[in-house]
Amino acid sequence: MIHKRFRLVILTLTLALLMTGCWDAKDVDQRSFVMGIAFDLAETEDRYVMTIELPVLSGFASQSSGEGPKSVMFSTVGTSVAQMATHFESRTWRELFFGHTQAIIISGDAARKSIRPFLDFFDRNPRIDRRLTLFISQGEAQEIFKTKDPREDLVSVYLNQMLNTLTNTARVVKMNFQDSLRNLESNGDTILPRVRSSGTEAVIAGGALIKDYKLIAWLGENETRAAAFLYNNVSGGLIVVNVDDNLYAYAMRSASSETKAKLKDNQLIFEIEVKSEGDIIEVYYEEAQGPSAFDIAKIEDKLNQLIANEILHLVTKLQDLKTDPIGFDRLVFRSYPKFWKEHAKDWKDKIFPQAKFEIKTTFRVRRTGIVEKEVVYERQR
Amino acid sequence: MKGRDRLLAQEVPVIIANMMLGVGTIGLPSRLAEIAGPDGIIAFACAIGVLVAATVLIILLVRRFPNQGIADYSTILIGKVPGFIFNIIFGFFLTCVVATMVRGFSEVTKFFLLQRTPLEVIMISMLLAGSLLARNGLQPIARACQILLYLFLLPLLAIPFFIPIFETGEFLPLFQTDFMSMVKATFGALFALAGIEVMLVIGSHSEDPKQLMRSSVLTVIAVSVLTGILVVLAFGSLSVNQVAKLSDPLFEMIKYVPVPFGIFERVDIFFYTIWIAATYSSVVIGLFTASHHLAETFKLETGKGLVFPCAAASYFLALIPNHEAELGVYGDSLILVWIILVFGVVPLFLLLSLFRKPKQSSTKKKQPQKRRANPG
Repeated sequence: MIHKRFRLVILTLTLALLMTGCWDAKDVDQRSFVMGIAFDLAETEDRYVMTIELPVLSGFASQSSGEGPKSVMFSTVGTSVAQMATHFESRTWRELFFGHTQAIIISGDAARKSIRPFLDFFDRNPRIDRRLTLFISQGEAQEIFKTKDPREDLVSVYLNQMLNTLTNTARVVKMNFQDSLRNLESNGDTILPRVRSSGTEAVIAGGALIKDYKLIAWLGENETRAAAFLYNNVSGGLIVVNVDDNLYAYAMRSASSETKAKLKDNQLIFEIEVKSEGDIIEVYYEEAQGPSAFDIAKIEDKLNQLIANEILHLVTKLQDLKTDPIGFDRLVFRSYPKFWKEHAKDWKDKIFPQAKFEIKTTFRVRRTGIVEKEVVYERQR
Repeated sequence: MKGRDRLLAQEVPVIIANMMLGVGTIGLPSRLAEIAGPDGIIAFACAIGVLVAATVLIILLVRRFPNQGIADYSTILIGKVPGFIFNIIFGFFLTCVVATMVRGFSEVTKFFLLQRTPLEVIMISMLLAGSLLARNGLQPIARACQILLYLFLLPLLAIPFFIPIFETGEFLPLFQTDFMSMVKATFGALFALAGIEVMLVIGSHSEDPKQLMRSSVLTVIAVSVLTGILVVLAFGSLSVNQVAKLSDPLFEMIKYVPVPFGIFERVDIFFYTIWIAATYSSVVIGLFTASHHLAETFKLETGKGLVFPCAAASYFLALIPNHEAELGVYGDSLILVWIILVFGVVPLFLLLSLFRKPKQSSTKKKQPQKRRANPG
């Protein structure tokens, strides 16, 4: 009996020693949490500048007194991301931890060369949170981290939060790292959100058009809105239309889109259908008296025309640039696999530029705020 | 109750479910997508069909010899010496299954969680912890598995409601893969779904052999459907291309899940916990089955004393593959043996049993305290 108990105690002790995971124990204060990463071109050819934004945890602890910096930036020059990440180890004894990284910003110049070299390190890293956002900056990427906005302690957190909580504008494509990879690995094309800094604020608006992992053009805000509709990731936003010299601000409450590929007599046609519901939240007019009544049908018609034109303008531009960031190729592959097998090689150069688009938009105005129409008493006139 | 080693009707599904869910589950979507693309779903459905057929064959054999394990009746059916050799090979196969599970578990754990911990330490920890429970016999195992199953079943069922993006188009086009690739993908899916073979040893412990067929088939279908839901979610949320590229796509899919109400930043750690619990239960059942079968082969009173030797053998077998890719080759070899066992040996035994009738009456039950390998 004693022998049995002794064995049990030995076994329990052995397990207790083995199962604590001491080898991997790492205290929080022994880690540097990389919240944001920026990549720029270096002066030397084929080399990049990697900048990381780290929070100063002691700075957050003394938040009440408002003393001390909240974040710190380090930069290094190198070839690959892994190499540059290793360089940082000579500047901090704390292990770099990428599990909380919120934003990766690649400068427009570096993206023109290719964004491919910056993705693999993060794609392979098991600690990476795939909901982080990939941005392309207009100007130097590290300048974004230098933005001094007194309201925000960490620029990377601010950028990611801003992108994910934007509800009043559809002029940006909301796409996280996973979504971007999904598009890029499909055909090498995508649209990434554009970011720029004015010194005191970082602005996310417009998009960067990527073809074969290279930045080929910037998209304006209206073009990006059209792309957001095609990606079906518009959660809200404001559209202003002019009807009879009055400006109507339409706030989208919901929006969805569906794209279908059709093959008629060997002609590829994409049927795009966009639906939205929303409210009129403002009528802008300079006259003393506004419109006596809302012509809802006219407003809806204008909205339909505007968005259809924007989408048509975007797809025509994409056809001209022979790039398919929306993934029309996937639709063809899914619906017409035989046709796809025969024409896959010529997709971007021949087939996609010749495709036709049929766009149908259905915008519905549900309410006009709490004002139904302008009513003026006769005696006041 | 300490001496009781009979499985209650509700414990059979628990044992089967715990054996099926484990190491192979997380890599399954990747295997399917890599070989068959969107057709991986069809290959998976075919694998379920194969598995159900395997379950029916195994349970038919188990029911033909209600109070005997395969070690007992194999010698009656094919003779003492061939039967003994078969039992040794089957025992070795079961030990190899445990070894593959433990090595697969250690590889994934080391990569995702314990990067500095030596592989050997992870394997030893799992085997020792598994041996502790396996030594205590079938009843504690069934009870523990019951608790563990509830622990990981509820979160698994909740996952579909939290996946932010799901694209149904990812499942198209279908029927574009050639026949051989479909066979290969089905074969790959069996690696994740196998586990029912333990019933050849444990099935004889069932308290109600008449219910065995129904409960086993239903459990196999239910667990396969649950696993299928995970595959579908991975395809729809990550895309078939991404799933094919990733080694353990389910872990990546979980990372992508936004946590409601901002309680936690990420939920992947909870998924790891569930997966470790599922693997642990598979290892425990595997160790018990291997030791119990060998005890029956060598006519020992109990398999308890063979649990640690089996764990040690599993450990050394698990060290053989040089890397993860080689482990995949070992896994494929085991599935090949599994197919030979289930669709070769089991039908042969069934056929032979028609001519060499079992000595015992099918309704007569052994007294639990007189069972040879009791407990463990």
